[in-house]
Amino acid sequence: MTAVFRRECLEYFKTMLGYVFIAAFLFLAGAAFAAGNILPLDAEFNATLNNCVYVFMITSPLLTMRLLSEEKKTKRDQLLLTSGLSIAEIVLGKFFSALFVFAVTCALTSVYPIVLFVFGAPDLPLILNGYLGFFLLGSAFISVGMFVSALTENQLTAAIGAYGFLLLFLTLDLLIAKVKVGPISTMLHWFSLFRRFAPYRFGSFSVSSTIYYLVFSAAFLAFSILAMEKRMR
Amino acid sequence: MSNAACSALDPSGGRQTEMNAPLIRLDGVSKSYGKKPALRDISLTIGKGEIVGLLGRNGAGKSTLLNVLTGYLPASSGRVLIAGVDMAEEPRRAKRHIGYLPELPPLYDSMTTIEYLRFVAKIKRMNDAEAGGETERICAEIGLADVENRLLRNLSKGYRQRVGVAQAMLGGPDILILDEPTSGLDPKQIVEIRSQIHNFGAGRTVLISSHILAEIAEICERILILRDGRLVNDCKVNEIGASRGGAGKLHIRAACERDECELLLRNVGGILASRFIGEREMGSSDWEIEYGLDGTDIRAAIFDAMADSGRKLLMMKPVEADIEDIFLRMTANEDLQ
Repeated sequence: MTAVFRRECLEYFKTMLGYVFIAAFLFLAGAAFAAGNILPLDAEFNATLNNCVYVFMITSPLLTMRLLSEEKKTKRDQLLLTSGLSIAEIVLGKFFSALFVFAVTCALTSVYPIVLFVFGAPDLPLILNGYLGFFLLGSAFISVGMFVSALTENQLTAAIGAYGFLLLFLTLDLLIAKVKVGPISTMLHWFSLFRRFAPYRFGSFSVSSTIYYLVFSAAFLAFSILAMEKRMR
Repeated sequence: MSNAACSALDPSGGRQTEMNAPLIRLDGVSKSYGKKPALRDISLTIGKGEIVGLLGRNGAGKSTLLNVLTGYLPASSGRVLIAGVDMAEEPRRAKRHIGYLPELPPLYDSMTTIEYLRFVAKIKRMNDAEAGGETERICAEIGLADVENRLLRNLSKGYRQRVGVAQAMLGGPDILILDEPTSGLDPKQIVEIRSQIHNFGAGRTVLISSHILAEIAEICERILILRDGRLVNDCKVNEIGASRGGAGKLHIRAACERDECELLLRNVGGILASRFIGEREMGSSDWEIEYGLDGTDIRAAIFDAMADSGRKLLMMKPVEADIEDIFLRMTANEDLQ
């Protein structure tokens, strides 16, 4: 798995893809930071992180679209799958490489709270908690992108499919406000990918949300493995 | 049409080798894509030290067979045993015995040659020291030292193919499976790669799929022929080369004019057909003679006919059947068995 992880990390940074993703994310996140913190002179950074969730929703397919689809298209999966690696090792190696690039990007955004610390007194634990939630939510987004990438040989289809899935989850949130039937509303709350970020944003560490994000990511990685196994038959 | 020189296929396991226990064994392997059968009931064994060619027209099932053998695709039914390990039950253990070059070399263009080979070494479970040593060895052996720091995307087709061969040979697997290994190589590289495959094959098993029939004849000792997903023949190369599907050919040069020679040959019993192929020497005529393989020595009859008429026979030699002809005959749609 580590060999696949290293190779994929190398691929992100030896091609334009990693830089394009980081640049796009930092540009949009910078705009959110300027609009949310600099212009209104507000030190509440987690509102900016909340906006960054939507920024990552837009940019995450850039990270994931080629991960599995390109291997199939170029037949390089023949190398991986006949080398003795398991499908799980391949999927996890690739997933963690995308997560690594996301982590590097998150680390680069730390310049924003540093600016706030220079000019104000923001709450550090609150910000760290926000970052934890953001990272867990990002990992869920990446796992969704991986799954769609396992379904197709076309990168563009993988990207559009990932947007489709993420928009579907976003739509669930919009539905929650409209649905007045108790049990259904509760269920939609439970499944909502985005609303589960709220505790992190407001400073409380949520065990159930953490477990939810971890299980969500694991489930979509398992779906990716199953999709690859099915495609091989 | 039956090929007399080739052994009949043993339904229980193909031609049994005289070498050690088989490294590759297929028992009744079939593979279907949906309802479309791609491989039908293939049984064969390939022993240690054998270099075997896999022939067949496009769509015959060669690539599917290689993919099933390497564990890339699961068989729909039947068993694939690699060095005695069942591919379905212990795929990772079975795959450790195999080095595979697919038809399209599986290269990552953004990596350099050395990075790529180290990556392949790592996914073949070598540690850092082993990966480093093995990569250097294979670069020197395959002639990649000059390009080891170049990006794969900048390599010529020939070098890319060599990198593909190198990754398959990395780690010295017991079984080397190559799909069109010399595709895109220049003649010098082809000779080098053939020699490397030959050297590599000593004590190991090599299975080569190719459309270049001369290449198969050059490298391999044994040929498997697939047609419509069925294994229709399993021959030694020298047997297939000598075989003419029930007829033999001679090339003769007689010291007489065309018309006279034609008359003489007409009176020789056992000749199925004679064809004038030119006048290579002044006052002589060259003929290609086809005769039945019924045990009669046609050479003595031709010699006697010439001697009796007072004409000299300047040359007589058997014509080796063109392997392309044999291939086309064997993969044609009539039933071979």
